[in-house]
Amino acid sequence: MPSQLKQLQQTVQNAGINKHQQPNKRKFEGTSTTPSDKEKKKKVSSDIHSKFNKFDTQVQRLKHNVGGRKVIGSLGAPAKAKQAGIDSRKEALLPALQNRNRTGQFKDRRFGEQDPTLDEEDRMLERYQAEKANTGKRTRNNADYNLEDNDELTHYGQSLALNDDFANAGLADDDDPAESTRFDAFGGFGDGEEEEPIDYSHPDAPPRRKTKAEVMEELITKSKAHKMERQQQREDDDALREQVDADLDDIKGLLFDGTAENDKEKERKNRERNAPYKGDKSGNEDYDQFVRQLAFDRRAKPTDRLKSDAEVAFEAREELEKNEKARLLRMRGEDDSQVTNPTGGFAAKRQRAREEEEEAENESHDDENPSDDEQVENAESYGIGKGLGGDDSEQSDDEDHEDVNEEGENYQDGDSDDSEDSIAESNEGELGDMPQKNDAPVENLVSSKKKSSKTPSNTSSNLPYTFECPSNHDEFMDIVESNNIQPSQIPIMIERIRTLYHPELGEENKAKLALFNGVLLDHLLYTASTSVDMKIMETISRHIEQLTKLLPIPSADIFKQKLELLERNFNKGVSAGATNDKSKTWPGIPELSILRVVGVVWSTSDYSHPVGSAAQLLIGQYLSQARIRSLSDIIKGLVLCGISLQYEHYSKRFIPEVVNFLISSVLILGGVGREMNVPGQHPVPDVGRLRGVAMNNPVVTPSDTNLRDMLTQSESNSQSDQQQAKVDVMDRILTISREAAQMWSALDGFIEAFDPLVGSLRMVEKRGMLGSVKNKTENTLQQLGNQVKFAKQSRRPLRMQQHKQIAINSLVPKFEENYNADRRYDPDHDRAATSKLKAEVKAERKGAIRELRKDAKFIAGHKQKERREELDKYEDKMRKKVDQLGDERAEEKSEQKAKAKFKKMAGK
Amino acid sequence: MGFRVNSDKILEIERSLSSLSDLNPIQDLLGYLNADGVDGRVKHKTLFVLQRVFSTLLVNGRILGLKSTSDNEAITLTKKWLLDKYTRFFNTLGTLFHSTEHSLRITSLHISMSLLRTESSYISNKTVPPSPQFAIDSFRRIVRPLLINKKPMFDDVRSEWLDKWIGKCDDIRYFFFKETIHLFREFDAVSSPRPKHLTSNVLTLLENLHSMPTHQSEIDEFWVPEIARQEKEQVKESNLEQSKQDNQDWTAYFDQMIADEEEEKESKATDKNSKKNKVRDTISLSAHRAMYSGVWLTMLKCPTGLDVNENRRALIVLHQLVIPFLKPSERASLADWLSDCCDAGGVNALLALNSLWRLMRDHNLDYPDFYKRLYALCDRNVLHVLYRARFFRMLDLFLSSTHLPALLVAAFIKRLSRLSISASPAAIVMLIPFTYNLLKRHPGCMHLIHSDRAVQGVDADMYTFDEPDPMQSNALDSSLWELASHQSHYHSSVNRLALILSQVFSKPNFALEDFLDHAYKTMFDTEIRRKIKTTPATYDGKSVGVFGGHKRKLDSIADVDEKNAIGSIQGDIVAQLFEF
Repeated sequence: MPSQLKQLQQTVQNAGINKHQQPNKRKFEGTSTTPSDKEKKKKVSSDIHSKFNKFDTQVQRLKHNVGGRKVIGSLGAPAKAKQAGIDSRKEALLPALQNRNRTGQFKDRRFGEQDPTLDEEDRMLERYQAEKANTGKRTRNNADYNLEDNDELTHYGQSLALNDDFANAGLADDDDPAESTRFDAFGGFGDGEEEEPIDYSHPDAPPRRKTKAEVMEELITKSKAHKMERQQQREDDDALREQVDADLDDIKGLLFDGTAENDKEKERKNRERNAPYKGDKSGNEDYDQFVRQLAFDRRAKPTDRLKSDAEVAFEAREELEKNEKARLLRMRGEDDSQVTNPTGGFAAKRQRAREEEEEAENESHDDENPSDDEQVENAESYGIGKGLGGDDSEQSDDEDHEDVNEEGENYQDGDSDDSEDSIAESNEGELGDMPQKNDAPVENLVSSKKKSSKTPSNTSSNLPYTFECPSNHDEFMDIVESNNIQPSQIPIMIERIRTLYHPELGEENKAKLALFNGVLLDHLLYTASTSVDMKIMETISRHIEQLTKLLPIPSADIFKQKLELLERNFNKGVSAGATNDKSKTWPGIPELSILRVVGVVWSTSDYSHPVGSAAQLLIGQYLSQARIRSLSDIIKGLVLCGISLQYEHYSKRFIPEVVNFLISSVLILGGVGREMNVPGQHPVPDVGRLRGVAMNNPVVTPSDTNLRDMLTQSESNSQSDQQQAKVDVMDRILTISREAAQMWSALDGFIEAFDPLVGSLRMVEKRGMLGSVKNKTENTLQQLGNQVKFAKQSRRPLRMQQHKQIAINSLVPKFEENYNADRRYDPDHDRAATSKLKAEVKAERKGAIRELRKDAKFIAGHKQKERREELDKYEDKMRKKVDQLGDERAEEKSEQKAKAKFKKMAGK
Repeated sequence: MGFRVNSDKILEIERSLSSLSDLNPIQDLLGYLNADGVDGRVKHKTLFVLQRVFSTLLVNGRILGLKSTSDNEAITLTKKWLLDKYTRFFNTLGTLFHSTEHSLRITSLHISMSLLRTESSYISNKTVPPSPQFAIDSFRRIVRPLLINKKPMFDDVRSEWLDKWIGKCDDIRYFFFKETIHLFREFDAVSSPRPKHLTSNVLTLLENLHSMPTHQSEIDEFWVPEIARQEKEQVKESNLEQSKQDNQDWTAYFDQMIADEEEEKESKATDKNSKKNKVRDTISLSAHRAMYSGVWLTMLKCPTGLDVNENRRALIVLHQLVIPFLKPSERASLADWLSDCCDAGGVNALLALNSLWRLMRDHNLDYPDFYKRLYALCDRNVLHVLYRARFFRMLDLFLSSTHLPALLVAAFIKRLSRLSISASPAAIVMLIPFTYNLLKRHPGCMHLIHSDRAVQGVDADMYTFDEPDPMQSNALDSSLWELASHQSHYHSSVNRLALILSQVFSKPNFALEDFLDHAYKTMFDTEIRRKIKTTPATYDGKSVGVFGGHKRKLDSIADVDEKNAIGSIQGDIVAQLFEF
C-alpha cells in the first residue's frame, strides 16, 4: 500500500485536475472554461479532500450492531454540518438580527445582481429576459389581440429589423451599431460590452459560448419568424371568416326549427333583405341581435317536445319503484342515510365498525353499576322509556317501594275479570266526583260556537274570494258564519284560502298554512262530531294530506297533540270505570275519523313513525283496555280493528289486540257464557256478561248501513234495528277476521293466535243462533280452519340460534417474513398511527430545541465578534494615536536635540 | 222540632248556663243539635257551648266521681241525669261525624276528643293513688260511629283522624286498635254480619297509617297528659328493664293482654287492676305491635269472608306490615287463609304469593305442590292484570334457582309465551327479557328457541297447555313460536326486543326491573315525547274514499282515474267496510 501522499497524488492525477500538469495550456484556455467545468472540478477536488481527510467524519460505533439496519446518525460530518448551519444562519438569521430595530430596509431588486456566480454576460441575459417577461406581462392583453404586432424596435423611425440579415450572416462585428443601439434602448447599460472579455481570435477553438449578440440575434430571429407565422394564420382565418359569413345566410334557415320558423319567417326574411350581413357596423349589430335571438330560441326548444306515453309511464314506474323501495327500507327500520350509500368504501365501513364498537363500549360502561351481580342490559336501549317505575326501578328487592309503584299503576291498566264487579261497585259512590271526559278541542268547538243551526238562507252566489287565513277553529267558524257560507261551499272556501296563502306567495305563508292545517283537522273533528258530512270530511282530509306533504313536521306535531288528547280522554274514561256504561272509553266518530286520517296521511308502515306508532299504540290501548259494554262498543272496536289493519296493510305487522277483540266480540255476539269452556288462552273479560248483545237467529241480511246509523241502530230499543245492527256487526267481524288471517298467515305464531278464533267461531256456530250470517260464518270458518290446518302441517321447530361460528381468538404470535427492526408492526392501526405521530412530535420538538440552541449560540458568537471588532477598532485607533503622539514626541525631541546640538555647535 | 233558633239564643242559653245552677238548657241544646232544620252555624255554636259546659262540669266533678262519699240522693240523681246527657252528647257527636258539612264533621271530632282528654285527666287524678286512666267508654262512643255507618268514612274525617290522633298520639292509636278488635269480635258470628263499611274503613286507615313505632323511644306522644307523665316516670324504669323485656318473648305480653281483655269482657266492670295494666301497656312497643297484628287478624278472620276488593287491599300490604309481627300460632291460621286465596285463583292469588313467600322463607312454612300451583296461576289473565309486575317479580324469584329441572322451567316459559300471543306490548316487553334470563340460566331450555329435531307438522308442538302439571306438559318438545312472532309486532320497541332471541346469546342478563313497570300509557308517552328528528314520511298511496262508502260509489263513478285509484286501495278494509 503506497503512502497517503502517494495515494493522493494518484487520485488527483486520475481525476485530471492537477493544476501543475498543463500550466501552459491552461493559460490559453483561461476564459474559455465554463463555470460548470469549474464547479465540476471543485466538486471532484472536495470529494477527494473529504475522502482523504478522515478527521472531518465522525463515526458512531454501535454497541449491538444488527446487520441490515441503517441507523440514522451513525456517520456524521460535524464540521461540515456546523459550517452549513452557520452559513444558513448567516443568510437567514443574521439579516433579521441586523434589521431588528429597523423599520425600512433597502432591497436590491436588480436582475441577477445578487447571484455572485453569474458572470456579466449571464447577468445581462437575465436582465433581458426579465425585462421581456415584464413587458409581456404588462401588455399581454393587448398582445394577444394585437394583430399588428407594433412592438418593433426602430431607430429614427427606421426599423431595426433590417439588420437581421447581417446578424444571420454570421458576422461577428463588435462595432455593430444596431447591437449597441439595442442595448441602449433596453436599459442603457451600453458600456457593458467593453468589459466583455471576448476572444474571437481562435476560430478553431472548441465550441465556445455564444456571445450575447448572437443570443440576441437568435432571439430576434425567432420572434420574427413567429410573427410571420401569426400574420399568415390571421390572414387565413380572415379568409375563412369571410367565407363563413357569406354562407351564413344559407344556413340561417336551418338554425331555426320548423315551428319557430312559421311566425318568424317573415320577419327574418325581411331583415335579410334589408340588411344582409356585410361586416359593417350596422351589420354587426344586426348579427348580434340575430345571435341573441337564436340563443333564446335554442334554449326554449326542449320544452316544446312532449314526452312520449312510454316515457311518461316509465318515469311514473321509476318514481313508484323508488318510493316503494324507500318505504320498504323505512318499514324495516333501516336508516335512509345508510341506504343511499350502502357500501361507502372501506374507510366508511371501518368508521361504521368503529362507531358500533364505541357504542358497545359505551353500553358496557353505562351498565357498570347493575343492580344485580351481572345484570347489565336495560330497557333504555330498546326505546321503551322509563316506564312507571322511573327512579324507583333500581330497588328490585326493596319491596317497600312496590306499593307506591302499584298504587300509581291503578289508573293505567285494565283489570281482571274477577275484579270487574267490585270495581264498579267501589266506584259507585264516587261517580259524581270523577272527572268527566273533556275532549277539549272537540267539545270546546262545539260549545263555543253554537252549532250553525241558523242555516244561512243566502245562495252560493256571493261567496267571497278572499279570506283571512284562520289560525284557530273559532276564527274559521267566524268566517263561515259571518259570510253565511253553506257547508257545501266549505270545500271551495278551503281551496281559496289555500290558493291565497300559497307558500310561494309570501314568506310567512308557510307558518300560516301550518296553523291552517290544524284548523282543518279541528274542523274535521267538528264536522265528524256534529253532522257527518262525508263530502266535507273527504275534502278536508285530502287538504290535510296535501298540506302535510308540504309541511310534514308541523303537521306531525298537530297530529301528535290530538293523539295525546285522545289518550288523555281515554284515561279519564277508564278511570271513571271501564265497565261503567256512562264512562266514555270507546272512541266516537270524531276520534275514529282522526285515527282514520292518520292512516291515509302518514306512512304508517314505517318501522317507527312519530305519528303512526303513537296512533297504533293508542288503538291497541283502546282495544285492550276499553271494556265492551254494548253492541255499539263492538262496532267502534271493529272500526278500530279495520283502521289498524289498514295501518299495517303493507308492513303486515302483528297486532295481538285485534285478535283478542275479534275473539271477544265473536263470543259475545254468539252468546257464549263463561261457564262454557272458552277455547284458547286469550283474555275474554267481557264474555258472558252481555247477554243482551247475543244474536238470536236474525233473519235480516247484512246491509251497507253507514257508521252513524249503525251506532244509532245498535242503541235503539227497536228489536228490528238491533237485529239489523247485530247482523251487520257479525258480517263485518267475519270479513275482518278473514282479512286479518290473510294478513298474518306467515306469522310464526299464527296457529296460537288464530286457533282460538276458529274455536270460538265453531263454538258459536254450534249454538246455531246465527241466522242469516250462518253461511258466511261457515265459509269463514272453513277458510280460517284450513289456514290453521295448513299452518299446523307445515310447522317446524324454531331454529333461531343459527349463527355463523365465531373463531376463537388466536394467541400465536404473528411471524413477519422480512422483519425490519426499524418498522413498526403494530396490528392496531390506531395505536400505530398514534405512536407514529408521537414520535414525529418528539423529533420535531428535539429538532426545534436544538435549532433554537444553535441560534442562540450563533447570535452570541456574532455579538462577541462584533464586540471584538469594536475593541480592535478602538485599539487600533488608540495605537495610531499613541504612535502619532510618539512620532510627534520623537520629532520634538529630535528637534530639541538638533537645537541643542546646534546651540552647542554654535556655542562652541 | 219546629222552632227556630239563632245564635243569639244560643249565647243567651250559654249565659244562663254559666252559673251551672240550672242545667236544664243542656237538654234544649242537645235538642238543637239533633234537629233537622237547624242552621249549620248554629249547630256549630251549640257544639262549642256544650263542650264548654260539659268540660266545666267534668272538671268540677259534677258528672263522674266517687259514689261512696257523702253524696245525697239529689246529687246522685243530678249526676245520673248529667251522665245521661253527657252520653247523649257523645252519641250526637258520633252522628255528626257523618254530617254533610265539612266544618261540623271536623269540629265534632275535635270536641269529642278534647272532652275525652278532659275526662281521662279527671279520672286519672281522682283515683287513689293518682294513676293514668283512659276514658274507655267515651272513646268507644267515638270509635264506634266513626267506623260503623251506612256511608263510608269521609275523607276529611279520616285524614284528620289519622293526622291528629292515630298517626300522632300513641295512646289513642293503641286504644283505637283495641276498640277495633272489640268491634270485630262483636260482629263475629254469622248471625250478626259485619256492618257494611267497617272493614273497608279500618283498611283504609291501616293502609294510610305510616307511623307505627319501630322503636321503644318512638312512643313518646300522648293525647292524655297523665299518660304522658306516667311515660316519663317510667322511662328510667323501662330503661332498666329494657334488657330483660327484650329477652322475653313479647308475644307473652300479647297473650297476657288478650287474657286481660277476655276477663274484662266478661266482667264488664271497671276492674282497676286490668285498667291500670291496660294503660301501662300503652307505653310498650311490643303491646302496640301486638295490637296492630291483632287488628289485622281479627279483621281477616271474618266468617262470611271479606269481599274481593277488601281482600285484595289487605293482601297488597299484608306481607310487609303484618307478617313480621305474627306469632307462630297466628302464622298458621294466616297461612291457611293465604293458601285459600291462592287456590281461588285470580288477582288475589297473585297477591297472596308475596305473603306466602314471606312465610315460607322466614317462617319455614311448608307449602306442597308449590310450582304446580304457581303454574296454575299463569292463566289467560295473568298478563293483563294490574299486578302482573308484582307477580313477575315473585316469579323471577321463584324460578331463579339453577337447580330447578329444565322441564319445569321450560313449561313456565312456554306457558307464558303462549299467553304472550294475546298480550299487550307492555306485557311482552316484560316477558321477553324474563324469558331471555331464564334461557340463559337454564341452557337446557334453549331447545325452545333452537331445536334440531327433524320433525314437521303436529309433532313439532307436543306442548299441552291444559295439563296442570308442568312436568307433564312436554314443553321441551315445543318452540316459542309465539315470542318469535313478536319479531313482527307492530310496536318497534317490542319488535326490537323480540329480536334478541335470534341474536347470539352473549348478552348479559337483563335487569328485569327496568322492564316490569310499563303500560300503554308510559309507552304512548315515550312515543309522543320523542322528538321528531327527521321529516316523517307521508302516505304514498292515493287516498280516495277515506271515509268509506265507495263500495257503492265504485259503480257510479264515471272517472276512470278515480275508479282505478279506488281499485288500488283494495287492501283498505276500512274503506270497504265502513262508511262514516
